[in-house]
Amino acid sequence: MQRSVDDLAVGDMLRRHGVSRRGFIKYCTAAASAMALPPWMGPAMAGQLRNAARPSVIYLSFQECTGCFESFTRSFAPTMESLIFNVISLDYDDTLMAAAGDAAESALARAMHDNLANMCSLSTARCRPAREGAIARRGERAPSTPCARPPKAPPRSFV
Amino acid sequence: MSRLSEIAIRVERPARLGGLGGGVAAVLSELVGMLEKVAVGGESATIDLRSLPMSPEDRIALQTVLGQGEVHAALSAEGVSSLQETGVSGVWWVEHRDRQGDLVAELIEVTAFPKILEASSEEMADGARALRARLGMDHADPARIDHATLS
Repeated sequence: MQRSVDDLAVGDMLRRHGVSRRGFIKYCTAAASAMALPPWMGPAMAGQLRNAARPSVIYLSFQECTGCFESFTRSFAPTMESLIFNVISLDYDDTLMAAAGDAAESALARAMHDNLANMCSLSTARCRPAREGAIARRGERAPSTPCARPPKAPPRSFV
Repeated sequence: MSRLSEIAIRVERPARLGGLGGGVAAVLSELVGMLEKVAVGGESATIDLRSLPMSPEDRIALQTVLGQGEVHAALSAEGVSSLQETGVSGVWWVEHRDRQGDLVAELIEVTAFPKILEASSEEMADGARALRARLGMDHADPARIDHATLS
């Protein structure tokens, strides 16, 4: 039975795109070397990532000019659609997602609940708590949590 | 005031052990320890040469001491990689290059056989499935081969 894209691990995705297991090990080895990590980390990273599901990404835009997002939508290598359907699982982005209002908030809550220990929270620009959070308010979040940040911060966060 | 070219410069090299630079001697000493462990069934080990402050001269000295062994493998995956067994059995000099030919990783692996060369069981199963499809073999009858599709 053909597995859906959502079920495929990173290794399966890479193979579909012509990147062999050895090529991926080599890439991880080079990355480990460039980051001055111990040499055994390269193959270990490759082994872990190959069997990992696509990472769940929650993209939060705050006080920004949208330049980052505009650049992202114009990416050619990889294309945006390839990235969000094949490489990551973009579970929340208020600009791209079809859902709005309560449905969007539910999607965010669901993504946080399902992937809290393994998700990437990608935030662009500053998140200012000034003026009781009115500047960067999301949904019906109380001023004490003006950025609609998950109740427990995810372990990995890239800003 | 003296001109730059008139200032005498003398390069002082680190203390040498057995005619080898300190860095080279340290790597060789580490290799001895690794090799002894692997020889008695220990885990394979790797030294990342790019993480070491070695001059090109030291690198050549290290290659000279280790020598060249019987086995050389080339891997073509996202660029060419060279895996050369040195004259010391079980010590492999590994160079990974990217698609542009730039060196992206240079390692010394102490192992019976570099793991990256091994085929995985998953890939072998995929290969068997692909061959089976190519030969027109029925999944329910692994022994049957449709010879007509071979010609």
